[in-house]
Amino acid sequence: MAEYKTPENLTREETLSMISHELRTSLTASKWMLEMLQDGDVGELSPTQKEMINKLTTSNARMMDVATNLIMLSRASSEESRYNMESIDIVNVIDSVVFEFGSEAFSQHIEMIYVKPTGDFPKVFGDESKLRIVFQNLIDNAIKYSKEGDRVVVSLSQKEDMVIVTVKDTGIGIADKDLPLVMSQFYRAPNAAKKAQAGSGIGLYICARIVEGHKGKIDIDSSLEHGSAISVYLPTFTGQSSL
Amino acid sequence: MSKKILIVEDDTFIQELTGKKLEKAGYTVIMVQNGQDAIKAAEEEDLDLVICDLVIPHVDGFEVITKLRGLEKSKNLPIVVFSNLADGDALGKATAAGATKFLIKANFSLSDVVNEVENLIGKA
Repeated sequence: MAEYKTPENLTREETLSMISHELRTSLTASKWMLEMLQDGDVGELSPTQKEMINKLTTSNARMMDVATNLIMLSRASSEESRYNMESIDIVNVIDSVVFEFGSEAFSQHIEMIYVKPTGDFPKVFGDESKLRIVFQNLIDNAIKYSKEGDRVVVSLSQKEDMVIVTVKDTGIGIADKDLPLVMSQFYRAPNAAKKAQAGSGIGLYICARIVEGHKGKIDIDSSLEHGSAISVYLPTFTGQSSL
Repeated sequence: MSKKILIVEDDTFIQELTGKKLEKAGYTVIMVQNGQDAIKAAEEEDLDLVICDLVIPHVDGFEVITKLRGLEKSKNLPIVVFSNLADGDALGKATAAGATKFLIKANFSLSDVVNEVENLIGKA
């Protein structure tokens, strides 16, 4: 039987998670009703009505993005939010995140390739739930900023005492002038804002905070209109790691 | 006779919208709002697929999936988790319990849901 907690027994993170879940559920219902209106499921719309529904759909998507990212931001930046560092099977983590986004990529006709390492692969010293947020954000972005026929490749490699997870796409890319800014809070590159109006500009900032908390780093290699490769460097687990 | 889908969802709004879209695609839809009724429906009905939320009253979605996998009638039934509980723990627990597919509601349109159902059990 599920364990139900009373509101006063919930942690701050659990409370925010619950609020985020409820907000997303309400926004999902609104999104689907707008979709039914757009599809003509309840009758044909006039051009003006269609235009208004399109604007409402964009607004709804933006609220959804904020609801999703606020909980992540809270988790990443809260002083109370401690990192639960342990030895992590990073291959399994990436496996499940790729699986999670497989259907979304498929439905948008974007090819998702996962280059899974063979044989033994080093463990990472980290907080699994927080690292999962990083890779969810990176793969979500790679899909969001790609178009039909594009490709997203997720791969793992090792260099000295670091594991490198790379998410590479053939999407819209980032202009040189925007590169230094994309990991700032609420910054959105102009071409990104045009491609996906629903973004909030919080995602990469959260990723950077979490990776910093792991003593790792993020490298971005990008070319406008040709795609991006974002590499996350994380320390391997040596058995005596500490932060 | 059209294929039969059980929707386990406590949000009546979401339930109604999902049910209408699947019915429009030709499927027969049975809707319940809690885990106990879901298990009862799986015992009594000849289902082709289950769509199950995770945060539902009485018996949560994880336990529903586990119980359905223990029933002869539903041990091989496609079970699609449809939830906004998007963290890794939820995905791992649902997969371990026996979920066939995990879809995050906010990331999918209703048309995508119909496509996913068609991919798993074919058209109605």
